Amino acid sequence: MVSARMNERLTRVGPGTPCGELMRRYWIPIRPYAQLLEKPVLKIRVLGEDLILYRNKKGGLGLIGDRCLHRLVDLQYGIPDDAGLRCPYHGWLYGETGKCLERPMEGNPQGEIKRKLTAYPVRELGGLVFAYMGPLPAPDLPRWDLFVWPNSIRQIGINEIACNWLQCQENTGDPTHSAYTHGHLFEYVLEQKGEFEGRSSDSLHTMHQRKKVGIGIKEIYAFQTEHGFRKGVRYSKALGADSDREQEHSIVIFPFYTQTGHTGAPRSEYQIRVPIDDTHTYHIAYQCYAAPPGVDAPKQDVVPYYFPPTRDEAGNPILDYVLAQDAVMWVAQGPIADRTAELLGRTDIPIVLLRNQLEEQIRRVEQGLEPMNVFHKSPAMIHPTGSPPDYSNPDKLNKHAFRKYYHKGFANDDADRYGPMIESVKDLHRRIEEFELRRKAHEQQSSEHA
Amino acid sequence: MPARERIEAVLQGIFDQLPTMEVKSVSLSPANPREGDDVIARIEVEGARYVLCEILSDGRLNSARVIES
Repeated sequence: MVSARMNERLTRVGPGTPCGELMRRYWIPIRPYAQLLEKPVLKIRVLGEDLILYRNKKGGLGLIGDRCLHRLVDLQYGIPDDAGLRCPYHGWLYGETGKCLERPMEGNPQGEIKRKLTAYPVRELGGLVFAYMGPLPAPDLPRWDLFVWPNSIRQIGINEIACNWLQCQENTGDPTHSAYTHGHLFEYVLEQKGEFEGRSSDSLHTMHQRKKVGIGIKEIYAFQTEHGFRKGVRYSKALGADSDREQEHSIVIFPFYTQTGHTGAPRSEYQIRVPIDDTHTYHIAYQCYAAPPGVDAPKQDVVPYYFPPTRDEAGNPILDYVLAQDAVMWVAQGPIADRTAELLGRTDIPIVLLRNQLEEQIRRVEQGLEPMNVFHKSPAMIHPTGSPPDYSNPDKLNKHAFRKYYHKGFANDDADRYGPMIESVKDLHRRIEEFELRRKAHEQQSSEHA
Repeated sequence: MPARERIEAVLQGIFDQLPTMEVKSVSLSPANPREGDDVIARIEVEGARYVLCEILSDGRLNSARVIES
């Protein structure tokens, strides 16, 4: 357990709070860019602040306070202009710095309004709009590899989760939950739905793999890295595992990203847990499907987005895919988990490491130091794991093998099944499998000739 | 804070967060850490298990491993 004071420090994100000040040192993904193409003015809430994200008529982006300075009208009803966003009530015009640029009907010359709206820099990368809400000058926007990896197709799944962000993020520090949440619970749900036979006949089904997570554990490990945190499990045949092996789990990119699958794999993902406020999280599943050299991924002009449902038409939780299973567990811990009352054990030691790392970085900001993962000049591509993918060993690119066989029905186990790109992804996976089969056959022929 | 006190504070923080982990004994390597030393703490816990914690000289918990003996 942690003290009540520490729980507050780690979870509260409003202005002036310890964790809120840490979060304000980072570029925060706030919306898919594609959403602004459909609706150029969006009311959003980030780190407890109500803001308006807009795209002006020339394509420029702005993020400003949500109330007009004049009569406090909510600017979500604003009219995009060439230079900014215009209040729909009396036409006051605001630019991306929050400055009032024009007050129609007030006559000329117009005296300068000394007050400004709150305004934050925004930029687009990889189909996401990012905001920086901290002290200026803003650092560089980090080019994490999935945002810029070539020869890929992408889609973005969005969920609003009714709990504090840290519950979502601690999931990544928890290597053992898979056995039940994605194994035994999954089995129970499929049995209840009468879909057990149809959905789990193949041993590659993630439920079968996840149930083995808790069997034959020799070691659970976790360690800090340059960009965050890695953890995994080593298994021993002598202790009941099916083989001696190591299974690395998803990694943390500090402060609120997690990556599953390796960059360059047929399916990899950043899950990004953006705090809306203390009790709500904007969850982004940034899904990237990469083709290896020799296979061409289709071109994409815009990265589409979608909302994976977490409840059925009757209002009951949907529990037959991995992300929804996690989300139910996060919300079930309460709006802000009371960590003063929990009972962690030795298998939870990666969570301790994750919390320690968060507290260390909060302290750095309090001491006037820069926290980790702030870049003044981002490299062209940052590999969170420290190295690019190894295409000479394609079998190791995906942690869970089922995720390279979406064309064989395994997309059903992930939120991706709801995504607008899923049919293109299945086609890509089919072509990657055919390519790998041809490559292996060629290698075999070559070795026979030799 | 002297090195040993800093290490003990980190370990106590771990134990406080893991109340169901019964600690039998703790040994440090090096046994008598000096200022600037990184330390590996070996924590014997109930069952045939132990925990290795790497604590850096600045008091950061850098890595942890829970191992079946």
